[in-house]
Formats: sequence, C-alpha cells, structure tokens
Amino acid sequence: MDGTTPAPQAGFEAGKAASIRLIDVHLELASAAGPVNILRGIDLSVAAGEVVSIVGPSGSGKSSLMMLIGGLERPTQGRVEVAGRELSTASEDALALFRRDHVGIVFQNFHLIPTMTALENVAIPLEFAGAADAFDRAAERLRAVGLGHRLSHYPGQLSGGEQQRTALARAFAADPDVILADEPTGNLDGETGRQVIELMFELSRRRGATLLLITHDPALAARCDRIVRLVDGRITDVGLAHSAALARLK
Amino acid sequence: MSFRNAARLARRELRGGLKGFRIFLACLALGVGAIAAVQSVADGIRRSIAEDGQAILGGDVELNRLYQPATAEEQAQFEAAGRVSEVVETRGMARNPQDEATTLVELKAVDGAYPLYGRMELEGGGDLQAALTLQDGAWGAVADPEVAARLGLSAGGRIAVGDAVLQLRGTIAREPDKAGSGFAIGPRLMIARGALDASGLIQPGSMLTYNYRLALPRGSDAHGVAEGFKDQFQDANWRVRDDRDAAPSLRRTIDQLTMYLTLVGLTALLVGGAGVGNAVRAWLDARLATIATLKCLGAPGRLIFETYLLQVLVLSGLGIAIGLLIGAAAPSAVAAVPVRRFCRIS
Repeated sequence: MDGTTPAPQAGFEAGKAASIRLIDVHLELASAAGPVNILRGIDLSVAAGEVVSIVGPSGSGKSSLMMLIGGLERPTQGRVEVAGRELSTASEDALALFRRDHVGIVFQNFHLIPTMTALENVAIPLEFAGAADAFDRAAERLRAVGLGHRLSHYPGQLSGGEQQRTALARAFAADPDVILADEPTGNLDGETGRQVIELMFELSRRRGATLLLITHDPALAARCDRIVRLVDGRITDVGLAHSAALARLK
Repeated sequence: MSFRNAARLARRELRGGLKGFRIFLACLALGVGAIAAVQSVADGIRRSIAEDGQAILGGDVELNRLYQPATAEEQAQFEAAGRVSEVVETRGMARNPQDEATTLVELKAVDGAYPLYGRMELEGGGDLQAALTLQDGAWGAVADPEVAARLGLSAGGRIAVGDAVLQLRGTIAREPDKAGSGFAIGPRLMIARGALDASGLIQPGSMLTYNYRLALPRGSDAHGVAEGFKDQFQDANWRVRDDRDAAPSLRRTIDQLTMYLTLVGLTALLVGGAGVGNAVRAWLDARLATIATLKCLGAPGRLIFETYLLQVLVLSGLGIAIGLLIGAAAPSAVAAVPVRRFCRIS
C-alpha cells in the first residue's frame, strides 16, 4: 500500500451485491479551532454478509465512519449507500426509520436503557417497527444469547457480559442487514469478551448480516473476512484477513 | 402508533422515579398551592359571609347614619317593617378610674333587642342583657379581653367612659356581628344604650353611628325592603344594607387581599418558572444518553419529543395536583389557626 486512498473495493465475495458502498466520502466537523477534517475521501464497498474489521489508531476516524454508515452523521461530501439506500440526502426521520429497519448497533458501553428490563430493551426496535409479537420475539432473541432467565432484570442487575449480550440481542432483534459494532469487547474481560465475539460472529453468520467491527485487537481483526485500516481519515490498507486468505487458499 | 410507543416509553422511563424532578415539582406545587390556597380561603370566607349574612349584619336590613339618630317618624317606619334593634357605635377612651390608665376602645351601645340574629357569648357563660343592666346604681359593661388587660382590671372592676363609671361584668367570647363592623382600631367595649346616655358622650358633633337593624317577618324580601328604604330616605343620609352584602368592607378587603395574594402567587409561579425550566433542562441533559440510544434504535424525532413531553406533562400534573391539595387543605389549616390568641399577642 502506498498510503493513498485505494480504488473502490468490490464486494469480497464475487456475485454478492454491495451492502455498504462509500464513494469519495469526506467528513468535516466544526470546532473552536476551525474546521477539522475527520474523513478525507473514503471509498469502500462491503458485500452483503461480509465481516469487515476497521482498525487504526485513536482519532483516525473509525467511529465517524461507522456513524456515517449508520446514518447518524451526514458526509460533507460524497455518497453513502447502505442496504441499497442513499443516506447522504435523507431526512432525519428517514434515517431513523432506515436504522430501525436495516441497522443494528453494538456499543462499547452497551447503552442499554436503565429504566427498562432486558426484555423491554430488546423489544424496542421491534416495537418501533410495529411488531405485534415484539415481546415474544425479544424473549426468543434473549434466549438465543443465553439470557432466557434474565428477561425481567434491569441493566443494573446484569453483569457487563450479560449487558453486552442483551445489547447484541437488541442489535439483532429486527433482523437488520448491517450490524455496526464499535469495540464491543472494550469494557469486558478477556474471557467474557471472547464469548461475546463468538456470539456476535455466530449471529451475523446465521442471519446473513453484514458485520462492520471496529477493534484495536489484531487477533480479532484477523478473524474477519477483511481488514480496513484507517489512518488520519484515509483508508491506508484494505486486505484479506489472515483467516480469510487461508480459507481462500484452501 | 407513535403516541402509543411514546406513552409506553414514557411510562417505562418514569420508573426511574422523581430524581432530578424534585425542584420542578416543588416550584410547581408551591406556586399552584399558593394561588389555590388564596382562592379557596377567600372563597370560604365569601361563602361564610353569604351564609351568615343575617348574623354578620345583625338583621335582615340595616340602616345607619352618622351623627343623627332616627326621628320618631323614621323609627315608626322601621318598626312597621319588623322588629328593630338600635345599636350606637363610636370610638372613645376608656379609663381605669383608680390609676387613670386609658385605652382607646370601639364603643358599642346596644338596646335590649340586641342581637336580633346570631348568639352573643361571654366567657364563662352569662347573659349579655343581664350583664349590661343598671345594678346598684352602676351600669354594666362587657369587653374584649384586651380592655381589661390594658387597664389592669379584673372581673367586677370599674371602668370609666366619659362621665359614666361602669362595672366590667364579663369578657366577650363571641360577638356575632363583629365581622360586619368594618375596620377596628381598638378592642370592643359593649355597654347598654342607657349607659351611653349616662356617659355624656352624646354631644352635638360627636362621631356616633346610629345603626337600626330590622328583623323582617319570615318570607320577607329583605333586598326589596332595603331598596324601598333607599327610595324613601333619599335625602336623609341613611346608608342601607341588606343581608346579601352584610360585610361590604370585609368583602372589599377580602377581594383586594385575594387579588394581591393571587398576583404574588402568580409572580412566584413565574419566578419558579425559571427553576422549572432549569430543572427540565438538567433532567433532559441527564437523559441525553437514553435519547441518543433511542435515536440509534430508529426512534424518529417526533417520538422522542412526545415521549419526553408526556413525562413532563405527567410530572406537571403531579405538581399541580399537589398544589391543588395544598389549596384544598388551606381553609381547614387557616381555620385551625388560633386567631384570638394570635390577636391577643399582637
């Protein structure tokens, strides 16, 4: 890699439609010291069902990139297409509905709503979508992550690992096309983090969801299909993860 | 659907309790409570005046005039309308004839028919007319407790008013028409009509108010009779009132006090509004993480707005309800205040 922004990447798996496509995306934010260029011409294409890790030093723009893909931020320039929808020009409410139907987000700090039980937390996206069986489906999702016995517990009554598993159940509740995970194991101990990652990989594989994973853990990044390296707002490296390369060779 | 979701989310969020909302509730409850208390106490007083109009006025109709008693012809007309009681009021100095201690008193001379309505009560019981009558060459008097205290008199002590030396024979526990007497600058000293004549206070130019209270036959139209007297005595300087407006000065005072205190309450509510605004802002700031999470999960702006508006409305309703309860309890609380004791101290 020469350090410049590479050409748009095709989907990793040939024949699969792109789930995420970013074309010459720039993001500039205002600050007291003047405008700050967060992202500088990002081109990226992720195929449906692909698992991609985003790595890079702190401040390189990883979380901002994820915010753009989740429709939580608008690019200053360029196009952002996710699940076949162009997000750059969509209204706030249209973006909210897009997230409800197509995106699940997993945060480092879990961000469960403290006044709601685990079941209610997981049911929220389903309730927003008007699902009549929201609670039945939420209970099923919680059982799928091994928390069938914690349905009526509040976040404060759950361990860190249990909270993150609840957050995973919530992210996958509405069967989204894309899962965005921002350092999901950052607040968990090694063993618990490993269990959560296994669960997340398993769920995304089973449901065919595209998974974008921000991580500082090289071993975890190596388990993904592709690794995208960001430095100073630019993609400096896009490559096959070791495991994927091995799989291809086989 | 959006509103149902908002109601559901609001209900769940309110499980978090009143944390961060105590100042909000206190501002609202106190502001509303102050206004409600003023209005309910004033309404209670107005209702009491209306219900006890006869006792407060001292009759169904009252005619009063300064300086001049009723002429024989006028007196005859009053008596033709119903039973008549004559009450003469003035201000004067009462003295202790032994040490010349003096005090200003609201002097009230009553005839044998007083009171036409209501019940005059003396401390320790006793009959008013018996207490005021001429016995062993001395007229009797009854007075508010303050009179005896200021003049250093004990029961049965002598009290001088003008040229008359009276015997203090009782302390007033309840005077039925006191509320209708208007502004008083001294305690009450009540004597018989004959004692007033004996005092020598009736002089040309003396500021004496002659009140004639009429108890009309049952079923009479007091207002109509009062209006009739007004027409009849247009040039005679009579001020005529009926039991529908038994205590106009008290009513005016209550109206003015109510308006003033309501304005004070509204001002407090407005000032409290700043506190309410800050409390809501701080409360919303504390919920930014939850709001952001809801947005990430796909909540449109309208749903977020409705969710938090509902919570503020519910908590506002709670604050207003607490304020209204305070207002509803105010008349009972005011009634429980020992006014006589307070007045005596002051």
